[in-house]
Amino acid sequence: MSKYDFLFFLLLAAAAVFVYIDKWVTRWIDRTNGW
Amino acid sequence: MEQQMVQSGDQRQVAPCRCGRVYTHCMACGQRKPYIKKKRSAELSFELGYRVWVYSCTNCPVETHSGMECQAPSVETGAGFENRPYQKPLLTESPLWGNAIAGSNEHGALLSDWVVEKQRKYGWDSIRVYVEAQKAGWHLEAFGDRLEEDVKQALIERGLLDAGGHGHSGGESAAQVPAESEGQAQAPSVSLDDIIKNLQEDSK
Repeated sequence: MSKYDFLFFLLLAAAAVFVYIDKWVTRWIDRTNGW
Repeated sequence: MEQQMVQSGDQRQVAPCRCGRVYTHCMACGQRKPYIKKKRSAELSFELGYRVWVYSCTNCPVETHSGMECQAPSVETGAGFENRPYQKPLLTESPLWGNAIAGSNEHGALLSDWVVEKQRKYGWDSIRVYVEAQKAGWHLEAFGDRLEEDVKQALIERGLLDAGGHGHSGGESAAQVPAESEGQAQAPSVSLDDIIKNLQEDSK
């Protein structure tokens, strides 16, 4: 695995983590406000 | 998030918008898939006291949200409306013999060209090549009595021609079962055991 492959997968993983956290926070806001 | 939420008491219900759209759209112009501003949505939701999604349209400069009254021009979704997803238009296939009349000499000439070409390419025998032609949609029944007796017999045996001379095969059937047809045409009367033996010998 080259350096760029590694960076690509790292970026992909970071994007997935970001989306997951974003959805979780949105859900948490909705839940805490009873929406 | 992708659908319109209608607030009624504490319950949220999915409902089509008053403009008739059932997908996320700009409340001002009806543009599909507006950009959703999450931070602004949260702020406005806190202000209004219920969840709304703020949209920033790519078509118009107006910022709208899902809690407001839709101003978009309505679309026809009333009685008789049917949502038909886009489908590629089917190509109308012209017959293999072009503009020639079925059963004519031109049809015959084109068929014989095709037969020679296939025989050269695949080495099919004289009966099999006509069987394949019928499967490919050459409509050999159009030739009627001019068809050789053994060819006609072979077609009838394979169910490609009625005893009365009416064909019932076309390009579709040929496309559906090309693999089957090869085996059938090559050795229609060979038993399954022989075929298995042959395959085993070939694999050795």
